[in-house]
Amino acid sequence: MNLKELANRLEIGEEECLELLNLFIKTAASELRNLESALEKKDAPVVERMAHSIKGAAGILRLQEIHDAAKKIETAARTNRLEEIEVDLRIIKEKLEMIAEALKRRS
Amino acid sequence: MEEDIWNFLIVFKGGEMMKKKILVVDNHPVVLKFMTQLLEKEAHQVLTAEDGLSALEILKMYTPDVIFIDLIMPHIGGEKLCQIIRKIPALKEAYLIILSAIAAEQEIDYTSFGADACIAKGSLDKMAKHVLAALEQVDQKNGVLHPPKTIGIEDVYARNITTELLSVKKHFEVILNSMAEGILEITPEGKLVYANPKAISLINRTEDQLLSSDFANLFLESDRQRIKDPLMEIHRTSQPIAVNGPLTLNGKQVSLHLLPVMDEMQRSIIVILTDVSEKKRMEAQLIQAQKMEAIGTLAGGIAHDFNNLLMVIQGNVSLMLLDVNPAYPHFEMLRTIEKQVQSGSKLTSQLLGYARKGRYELRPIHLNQLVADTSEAFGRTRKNITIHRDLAGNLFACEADQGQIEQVLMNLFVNSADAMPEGGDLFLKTANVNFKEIKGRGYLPNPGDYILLTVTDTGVGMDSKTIDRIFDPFFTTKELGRGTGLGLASTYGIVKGHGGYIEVESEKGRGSTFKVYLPASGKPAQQTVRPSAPISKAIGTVLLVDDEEVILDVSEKVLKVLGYKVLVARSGAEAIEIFKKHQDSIDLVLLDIIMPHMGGGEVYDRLKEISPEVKVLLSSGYSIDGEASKIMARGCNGFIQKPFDIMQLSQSIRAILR
Repeated sequence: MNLKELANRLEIGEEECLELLNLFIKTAASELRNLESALEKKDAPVVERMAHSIKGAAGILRLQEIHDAAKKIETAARTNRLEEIEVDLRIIKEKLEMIAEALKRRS
Repeated sequence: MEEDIWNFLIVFKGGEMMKKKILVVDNHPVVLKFMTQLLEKEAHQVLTAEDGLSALEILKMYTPDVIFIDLIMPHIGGEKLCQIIRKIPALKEAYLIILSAIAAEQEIDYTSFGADACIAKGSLDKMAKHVLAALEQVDQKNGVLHPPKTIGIEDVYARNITTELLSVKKHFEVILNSMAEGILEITPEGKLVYANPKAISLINRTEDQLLSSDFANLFLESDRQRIKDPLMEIHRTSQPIAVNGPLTLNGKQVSLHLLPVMDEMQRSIIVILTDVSEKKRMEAQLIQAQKMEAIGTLAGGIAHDFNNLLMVIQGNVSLMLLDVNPAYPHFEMLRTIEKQVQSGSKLTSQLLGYARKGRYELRPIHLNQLVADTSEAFGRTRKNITIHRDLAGNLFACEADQGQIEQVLMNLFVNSADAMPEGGDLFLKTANVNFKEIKGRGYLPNPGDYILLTVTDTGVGMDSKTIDRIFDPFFTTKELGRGTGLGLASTYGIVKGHGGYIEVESEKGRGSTFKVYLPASGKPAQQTVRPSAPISKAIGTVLLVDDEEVILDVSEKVLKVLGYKVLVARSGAEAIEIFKKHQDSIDLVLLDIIMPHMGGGEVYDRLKEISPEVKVLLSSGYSIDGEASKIMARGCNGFIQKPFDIMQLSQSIRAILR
């Protein structure tokens, strides 16, 4: 992930972008944990709500892949097709890890 | 340093586009962070809040010029928050800008809840431009009128799925809005964040007064601990709790169910409010009825035993008086004992009246005559009270026990007079009424005609608390030692025992009105004759039946003094045996009603079988539910109430043997 490019697209400074991404990673990680434990309990509404929240934040940060995956999870959860979300869940996790790695390298 | 100077310059310039005080309310930390970065860069002062509730907390101390508000948030959403803010005088002019992620799918009429602008959430670069553009509008607010239009819709990611989410949300809202129970959501700290329409109407405050207010404070101060404790408990155990015992809310009785709701985002408590006023009222009525019944049984039992004790004292005193020279000092002392026994007997008869167990002699009587006589006698004792009588000319007769009705009248008069210590007017009115005219009461009167006696005074009156307890035995408003608390209780019992109803209307300082309804009788009224005959030596044999040795002992002596030959039976069975043997010589049976194994009623029937001509005088400390009157109805010759003195016994026996 190219931080500079993202900051440019969001029209904010790199430092600011870094700060926002850090916050996003933290929030999304906790939302993801909630999502997974809800998945174990087959609690579709919570899965849906968590995905919705991740999607929103990813959207404003222009993190298109996370946004799209979260959106798919949200749709699947609404129709209670929890078995379909595994792939998208993995995408989100991978992307989040990538961002986290990139941020670690920066600091 | 550089930034400070820049800030300074802007302020110093004194231009209209000045540094603003801004509050951003959004539940996503990324949005809050971004907005803070953006707005602080523009030299504005920025505070943030994660939900509506914390926003309201901040607004207590901070008066921003502009507030950005997320539409969908936990703990008071954006729409509600706008409405509440608009009611805060200091924030009337604040510029409210909605930040919405759903603006793309749903037209938001943000002006309807008081917002000035709406920005659709999109990527940060787009949002930044819209936020800054909106802030420019703030300064022109009073000048140009902007048609309400959401800024930035065209930039928003397509999110058609949210439409569905919204319709689900709407559906739940419809359900909550039509619930018969009040539903509230409160934070673990007890702040109200949601109230459905039923809850709002139960509490009777407006929604914006309710939201963010403290839940426990809705209740009476004395009840608040009963709310706070379960809230603490629920915090600890996360188990649902019912608050038992009704709480007073807006003059109504409500019960509470507290349900902890915990999801990954927030903990909150759902409160279900149920209006139990009507249920509690009916329960209270039932409890009152049961209480009266229980106390009645107790009082009746005590009175019965007491009458037996008094009987023994009375009998012995009577016998001693016959032997003592009136000049001897013991004579007066014995008379004093006799007087005290009579006072005691009056008390027990009040108790029996309350217990509805003293009823034994029903005859058609003229209530008017009784009211006239009793009130006249009463008037002589209370000169400062003017009695006004308005007695119906064609009043129905009623079947009643004259002595007991006299007692009712006396009790009511005394009660009224005591309410007028400085004197006053007492209005007595009688009238015929049909049961259909007795309407709108807590009870359903039995069909038929009634006689209505109204007793109205101009006294001090009573508050509703006193009225509620006025017929309770031993309840008295009079100072210690003056009232027994039995007068109105026995009045109540007697009226009930006669198949009638009693009501009271009163207000503090406005006098009281008692209404007594007695069932009318078709039979013509009888004139009463009070027998009176001196004691003289009698001849004859009396079979005395009682299970209590002391009573037997004293009664036997009294009968012997009167001149009778006495046979004694200690049980019903023994009485029958003796009667079989001596039926030809027995002139009268003096029969106790309450005895173990075989009661007076059965003994009476067996005696009647043996000899239809048998003459029986019943005696009792009371008669259970008119047991005496039942036996009387089968042809029994008479009844005498314990305790009786030698004179009363003599008269009762003579009346039968005459």
